[in-house]
Amino acid sequence: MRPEERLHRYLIGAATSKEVAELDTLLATDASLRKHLITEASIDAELRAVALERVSEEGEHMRMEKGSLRTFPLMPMAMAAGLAFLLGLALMHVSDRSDTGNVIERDVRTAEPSAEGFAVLSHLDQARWPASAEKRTGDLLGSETLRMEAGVAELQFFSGATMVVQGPAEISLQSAWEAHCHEGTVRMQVPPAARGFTLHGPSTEIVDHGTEFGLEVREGQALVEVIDGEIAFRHRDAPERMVRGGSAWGLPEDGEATRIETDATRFPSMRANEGWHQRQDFERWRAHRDRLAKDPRVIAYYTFERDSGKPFIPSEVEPRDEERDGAVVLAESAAGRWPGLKGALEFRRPGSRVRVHLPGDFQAFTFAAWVRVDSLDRRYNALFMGDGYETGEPHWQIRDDGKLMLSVMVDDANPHPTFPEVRYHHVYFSPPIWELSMSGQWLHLASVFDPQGRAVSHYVDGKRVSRETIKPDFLIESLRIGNGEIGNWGQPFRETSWFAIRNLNGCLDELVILNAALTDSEIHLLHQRSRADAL
Amino acid sequence: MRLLMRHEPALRAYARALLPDWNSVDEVIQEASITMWNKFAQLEEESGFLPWGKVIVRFKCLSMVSALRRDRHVFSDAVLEQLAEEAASMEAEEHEAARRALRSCLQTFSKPHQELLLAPYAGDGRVKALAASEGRSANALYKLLGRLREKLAVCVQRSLHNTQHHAS
Repeated sequence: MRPEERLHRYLIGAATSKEVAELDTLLATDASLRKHLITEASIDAELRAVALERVSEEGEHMRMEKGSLRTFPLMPMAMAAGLAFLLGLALMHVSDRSDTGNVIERDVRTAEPSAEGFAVLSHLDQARWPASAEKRTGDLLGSETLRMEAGVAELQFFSGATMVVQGPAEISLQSAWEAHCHEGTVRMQVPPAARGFTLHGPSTEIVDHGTEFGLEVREGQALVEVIDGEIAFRHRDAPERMVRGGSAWGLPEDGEATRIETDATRFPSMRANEGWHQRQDFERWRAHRDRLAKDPRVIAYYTFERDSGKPFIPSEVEPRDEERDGAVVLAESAAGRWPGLKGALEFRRPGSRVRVHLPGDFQAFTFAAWVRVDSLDRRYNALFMGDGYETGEPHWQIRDDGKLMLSVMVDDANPHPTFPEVRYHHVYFSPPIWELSMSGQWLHLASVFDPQGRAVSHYVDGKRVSRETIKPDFLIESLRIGNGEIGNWGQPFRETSWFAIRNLNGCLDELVILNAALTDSEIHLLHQRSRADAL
Repeated sequence: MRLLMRHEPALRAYARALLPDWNSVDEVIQEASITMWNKFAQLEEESGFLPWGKVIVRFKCLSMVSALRRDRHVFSDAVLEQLAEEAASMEAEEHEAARRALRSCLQTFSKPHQELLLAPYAGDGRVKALAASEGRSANALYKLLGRLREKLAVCVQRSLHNTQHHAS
């Protein structure tokens, strides 16, 4: 392969580990090749900028608050961010820590040891494990051997490759880029970013060049089939062979690879195994969604599903009002409560948020959401936050001790009677409702601010966990939202220079805000109707 | 911030020379922007912004690479140091000239070829989708893409060379 070709394969992410190593050797001694790489990198950067510009031109009807934010979700912040946002974020970092010097450096280092593992068990279907090696959906996998007695499991490698395994199976995981199949039937899906993923059979090494192949190993006998795309395999001592989609090879332990008949149906597929009941359950939820969307008390309703590449999530409220769509900033699409059927948004990165504009005057608030908290990294972890926290505006969040919090600013022009450093408001806490062992679980959280009933209540999975009276001093009856954020709080107070990072390290699958104080039984019903496993 | 907006494409290209994929570049630029903001007071004059920014980006890139190294093959430190050094010497004007050259070279390609050149940035499935709509294999399209990229690089090099010629 010519050096230019190698460079190109590297830049589009197609180079295998071996090719990267070879390129590295060439680069070490060849100054003109390095110059070439530097030029190619700037071509790559500008091509990408052009590509993103064109995408944003196509997405003309997306309204955002500022024109300059249009391309934002596809592009990193500095390029497309409004000045205000960047400024805000920078200052948030400043104020979040006393030492402004090496903030990020420290972050990078302290964050490192937390990532143990390079793959995650993303989906299980009737999987059975040996008693001592029970696994659950969401488990992180590192260098280990996975033994499964029966059923189907889906693994997502951090390289981007997906493996669906049919038991009985024994798979050793080496890295995000490499695994051994000693026993079992495996289907691999390898997107461009994970090209070069290597799967070993008992006497074969298979390198995926994209996009999909299957490997079956039963008692030392193996076969490989390329379903789509291309692979290269090396069987025993034979030279490497490139194989295209639509062909299958027997890989005997003690003989040469031979061409055999294809039959892609022998390889497991998560989709096919999801079973009709999951789809039925999802359809039931969709009917609920359609009903709820028509409830006249609903102020905002989001299900966090974004068409690929679109920088907004639609408002579900009917009649449809595009003004209420949410602008997605940095938050990433993730699997929702029905993986494969419904998406969610993840707010893991510090700048992640969904910005919304919800005008109107309200008499009460009910917030209800399906939330997956991965960890409570911040002192305050935002669910829904009014921008400026001005009079009548709500803050709904979770404190790092696991307590759910709801508050509404009572009077932003006056100090708190007891704590003069903050403004006049009161925070209504629940008892702790979350701890680290619940990381990754979907929870239904709801909180009700009821000025007429003079009470604030919190609910988890449809059950009330607390109720506190609103004292006359803190009564406020005219409520509003205006601009607000889901999953973060990036807006400074108007007149102080105080900022915070409050992104929720987790996902939202559904959020509804109502101009009403739902009763205990209504919240119970809302939970029942929206839950994922009701059938 | 105006300075950051102006030089951000150059910083992004710089990071791209050091990092294996765009996700890492985006993260690095995000973190570097925050650091730049924090340390902005260190900067004495505007013309120093790009070299200063590159030092910060370089530092972030090297931390990023050491994190990436645990899961995948990346360039050796020696090569990265060389690249970082050599790419750092590119001045703002050179970056801007390269960007202009790329844009005018891109216009010389046919519409379908332009579309293919831009496809890898539109998400994982775009090249595959193009292949499907044209009834060709994704692999064939990747090969064509490789040839187009080379042609593009030649055009950019040539046009930069000519500009330098005219200028001197």
